[in-house]
This record gives sequence, structure tokens and C-alpha cells, in this order.
Amino acid sequence: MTGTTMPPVLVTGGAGYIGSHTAMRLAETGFQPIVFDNLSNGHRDFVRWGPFEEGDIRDGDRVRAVLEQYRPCAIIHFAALIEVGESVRFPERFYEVNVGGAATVLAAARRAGIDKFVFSSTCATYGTPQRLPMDESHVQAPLNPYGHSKLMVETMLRDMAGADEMRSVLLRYFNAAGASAAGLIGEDHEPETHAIPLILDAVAGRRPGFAIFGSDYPTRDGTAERDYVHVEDLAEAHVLALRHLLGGGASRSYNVGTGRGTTVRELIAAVEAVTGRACPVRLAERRDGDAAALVAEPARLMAELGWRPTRDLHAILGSAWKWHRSLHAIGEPA
Amino acid sequence: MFHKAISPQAPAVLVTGGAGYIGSHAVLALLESGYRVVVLDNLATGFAWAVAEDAVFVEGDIADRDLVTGLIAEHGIVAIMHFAGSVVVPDSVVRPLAYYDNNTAKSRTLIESAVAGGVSHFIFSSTAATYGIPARVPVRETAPTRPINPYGWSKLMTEQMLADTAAAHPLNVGILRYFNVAGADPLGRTGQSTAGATHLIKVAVEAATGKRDHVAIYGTDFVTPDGTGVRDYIHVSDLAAAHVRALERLIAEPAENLLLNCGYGRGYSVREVLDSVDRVANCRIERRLAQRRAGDPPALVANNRRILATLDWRPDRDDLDTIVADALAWERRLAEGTPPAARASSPEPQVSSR
Repeated sequence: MTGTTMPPVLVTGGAGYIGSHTAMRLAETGFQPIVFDNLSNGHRDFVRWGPFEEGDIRDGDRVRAVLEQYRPCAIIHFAALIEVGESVRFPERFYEVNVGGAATVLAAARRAGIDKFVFSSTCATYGTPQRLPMDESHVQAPLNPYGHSKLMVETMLRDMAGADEMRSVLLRYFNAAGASAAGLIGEDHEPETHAIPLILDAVAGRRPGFAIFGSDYPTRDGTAERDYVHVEDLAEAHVLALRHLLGGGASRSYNVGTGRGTTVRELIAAVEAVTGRACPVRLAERRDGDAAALVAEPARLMAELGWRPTRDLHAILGSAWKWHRSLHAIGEPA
Repeated sequence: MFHKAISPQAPAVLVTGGAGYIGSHAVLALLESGYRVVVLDNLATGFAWAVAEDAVFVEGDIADRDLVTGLIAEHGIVAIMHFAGSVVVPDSVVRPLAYYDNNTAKSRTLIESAVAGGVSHFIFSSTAATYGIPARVPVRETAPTRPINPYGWSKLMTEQMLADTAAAHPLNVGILRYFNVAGADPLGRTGQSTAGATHLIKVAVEAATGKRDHVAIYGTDFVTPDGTGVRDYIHVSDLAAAHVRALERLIAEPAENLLLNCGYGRGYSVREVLDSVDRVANCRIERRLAQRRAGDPPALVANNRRILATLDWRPDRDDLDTIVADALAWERRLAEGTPPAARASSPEPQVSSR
């Protein structure tokens, strides 16, 4: 690293899927990402664009030590548990890591005099959509402990903004997907619960097929509709949010999505087109807590921070497939 | 006074914040119902002398996992009554993170310790502040929860964590949403002792005993019968009894959780409260009219049908002058010195005169 003047930014969870893409984008745009991650779900080899500090966000002393060492200008906070089903079975884990951990990081930040914070939130804070697309003023009524844990941190940050304790940007992601064009990092969850990697597994023969949970939703083809946003566009939103705060901007919340929904059947067809392989499909019952459709209204982020989703579904799936093949050493069909 | 002998086989209850105002009354009520009691309090705002002699007192933090799980194992704790927390609303607006840490994050750790230790029942000290400014008064438990300050949010978050925990683990929870708690133990053993009070009846009896020279009335133009704010004042001893009845219910119905308003279902205005203090103390408190405070609803009164229908609980001191008389008697004891009575010596029962 030669960029001695690059302002350091602490990226908690920076060895994870979205965190690592954001770290890459930070480095590309003149920042030094300091990745703080306990590697419980992150990957050491995803940390490529700045120093790595192994640590747990629940460990206030460790967070403080890292803040003292690097004196970052801001914190981008990704570290969290994300699997909705697990949150229902083990809510205390989610409240511990997502809420308690965030509170610990915020307290350490206050002590270190850091007052800018970008928070990784989710459309799961909205719960069942009352209207589509959903804008930021949509009522927030989460359906599971995961969504509640994220909303609690949003609430803390809003109150801290009101008391001048912290300025923050809350980014509510819709469905993050795809992988970096460079092919160095991508989606790699254990267990995998996201649709695109599961469909790719099915077309590659790594799984017997793909289960469609619910084919009787009130959508154009009966399957659930989601707003897939390319992870590199999502990473860019974090850099814009950071610049907004560094420029003195006020605390804000933004949806990050494309504004366009894709149904599961459309997604499968697109994967088949991109990969040239067929996806064996099995129909299954709806899952509890799955909304029929979740589509963002991203106008606020576009108007206020100048964000644009620049990569379409084809680009998402192309990059995801490239990553998936390298991750699992998938060759050409025989 | 008469104490029921407490059997070593009696169920043991961990009371966090048991050295504080409401907690110390709950300890008395539990002991009188024959429970064993272990008090955990960090004495940030509580007083060791406020803990009844028959309870085990441990000074420590609710977020100290090793300490809490150790206490659960050592005493065979079957239930936790969780009172510990920060309670000053305006302070929460100025220092929100401190409230989310002390109320939400520390409660989370306590809940985790309860699950890890196999505690069966959990009763949580919540608040009508979770309702925010209610659209309808009296407020039912089904009303939307829209807190208007970090204090209310910090409590609502703990409610949510408890609900999710109860759904996932073999533990049932009782969430008690208090309206305005006031008064003191009728026998004068404990009362509200923390300095810098912001609650009306406490402030008014401080004025009646000369500790303050006036009482401010915040807002005289509310849409209420006399223009001042209306609140549902519940006697702290009735509230303490409600906790014991709630615990009995949680023990009897392990598959059931409770969410209960704690109030009398009737409101008194600020002027009515001050008139009561004048009457009971035979004085004339100086009133100073002041602007409304941000976020004060005009009226906050409980619909208490659910608690009356669910618990074997009937208010015993549902009378404003009784509440005020008990609060005043305690204030006079405090004025004689803190602690008002050495913990070792049995205080004289003080029966309020009306």
C-alpha cells in the first residue's frame, strides 16, 4: 500500500460478501479500508485492499484498540448475522451480535471521537409491503428477529443523530447479488440460502434441483418477486454515503435497489440463458414470512447522492456464474 | 411485623434493580408471599439499605454473565424480575446511546443468561412510554407502540427481544407496562429515594416538606378538564403485588405469556394531584405555570381490563390521597436522614395518617 494519505475507514464485516466489495470500492476511490471481522462468516482471502484486524464487534476493548491504532474517519458497519430462519430459532444470537454488537461499536466510536457511521440495514425492516415499490417512508414492521434487530439499530442511530451523538446513513438493501467483475470475491455463504447461488448450484449439478417456495403468489407468474441489485452498485452506494457524511451531510436513510422486480421463474429463465444450462425445478410450499413481492423505490438515493444502478440482471448473473464456477471449479459441460 | 417463614424449598426469584424504587417494593411483596429473593443491583441509583433484610443482596451488574449464571445455579433461580434500568426520559433524549446500552443491550445479556441458566419465567418492567402519544385513551395493550423518546424505545426493544426469546425457548415472559408509579410502602420500609426526581407526586411531596420551593405545572392548555396533564397514578405497593400475581400466573400457565397494563384506569390532573398534596400535608404548594414539555401527551390512562381479568389482582390502595399520604410519609422519613432506618434495626411501622 503506497497511499499513505488515503483516509482510513473501518469496515466491520469487511471479509463478508457485501463488506469485501465495499472495501474494494473504497480502495478504488481513495480510502484505506481497515477490515475488522471475526471470520465467523467472512473469508480471510476476501481481505485484499487494506489491513485486516481480526476481532469481534462484541469485544469493546478490541474495537477500541483498533480505532486507536488507525484513527478512521468513519465506520461502515456490516458485521451481523443475516439468516432469517436462524433468527427465529435463536433470536438471542441476533440481538447479541446485531444489536449488542452495534451498541458496542457505537460506544467505542463515541469514545474515539468518531461521529460518522454508515449502517448496513435491510428491506426486512419494512415487513409486509403495504405498497410497491416501497419508499423510505413505508411503515417499518419487521416479521422476524433479524428484521427487528436491524430496525433497533436504525432506531438507536436516529436517536443518536437527534442528540448529536452520531451522524449516520442507513442503507436498506433489497436483494444483493452478483460478484466483482475482477472475479476475486463473491457470494459464499454457509449454509447458502440465497436464490441465485442455489440456482447456479442446480444448473451446475451441485444440487439435485432448485425449490420454488410458493407458486401461488399474486404476482405475474405466481412466484415471489424480488429486486436484485448488483453488489458492486451496492458497494458504490456505501462510498457515496460515506462521502455524504464526510462532506457534512445530515443523517439519512436510503433504499438500495433498482426499482425493478424479477420473479423466481424469470430469474431461473435468465440463469438458464446466461449459463446455457437447464435448471431442474421443484415446487414447494410458501415459507412463513416470505412476502409476495419486495421492490425498492430508489429515487431518494438517486436524487440526493447521485447513485445509479449500472449493472442489470444479465450482468448480475454473468458475474455470479463466473464467480460460482471459479469457487466450485465448475468446468464446461461435457 | 409478621413475616411468613420462608422455606428453603420456596421458589427463588432474582430481582434486578431490587435496591431501587419499584424493585425494593417488589422484594417486600415477594418475601411476604413466601418466595426466596436474591437481589442484584449495581447501586447506580439504588440503595443497599432499601433491600429487605430477608433477601440476599448481591452488588453487581446484570450484564455480568458469569455472575448472573452463577447466581441462577447457586440459588436455583426459577424466575427473574427485571427492574434494573435507566428511567429519566429527558436524559434519554440527550444521551440515547447510554439508554440503549444500559436498558437494551444489558437486558439482552441478562435474557441470554436466563436462557443459558434454564430460568423458566421472566417478568419485565416496561412502561406506558412504549405507546408514545396514544390515539385513544384509556390505552389498551393492543394499541400501536410508537415511542417518542429513546427511553420508550429502549424498553420496547427489550419487550421485542423477550417475545422472540419466549417463542424460541422454554421460558415464558410477563411484560408489565407501568403507568405513573407513585407512593411508598405503607409500613415505611422503602420508598422513592433517588435524588433529582422528575415525577410529579415525588416532586410535590418534596415541595410539601420544604425540599423545593415550588412545583412547575408544564402546560395548562391541554384538552383536559382543567387544562393540565392527566395521568394514571398507581400505588407502588399495588404494582409490586401485581408482579407477584403475574409470577404466579406464569408459573401456573407455562405456555402463556403476559402483556399487561398496570394502572387503575382512572386519571388525575396535575392540579388535582397538587390539591391532594395540599390537603394531605395541610400546606399550600406554590404552583408555577410553565410551557408544555415536548412529547408530553395530554392524557395517559390505562385500560386495565386485561390485568383485572387475567390476574388474581385487585388494587388495595386505589385512592389519590392514600398514594400521596404514603409518598409524603416516606419523604418525611428521608428528610430525617438517609438511610431513613438502619437496615439492621426494624423500623417502626409507620401508618399514614389521613
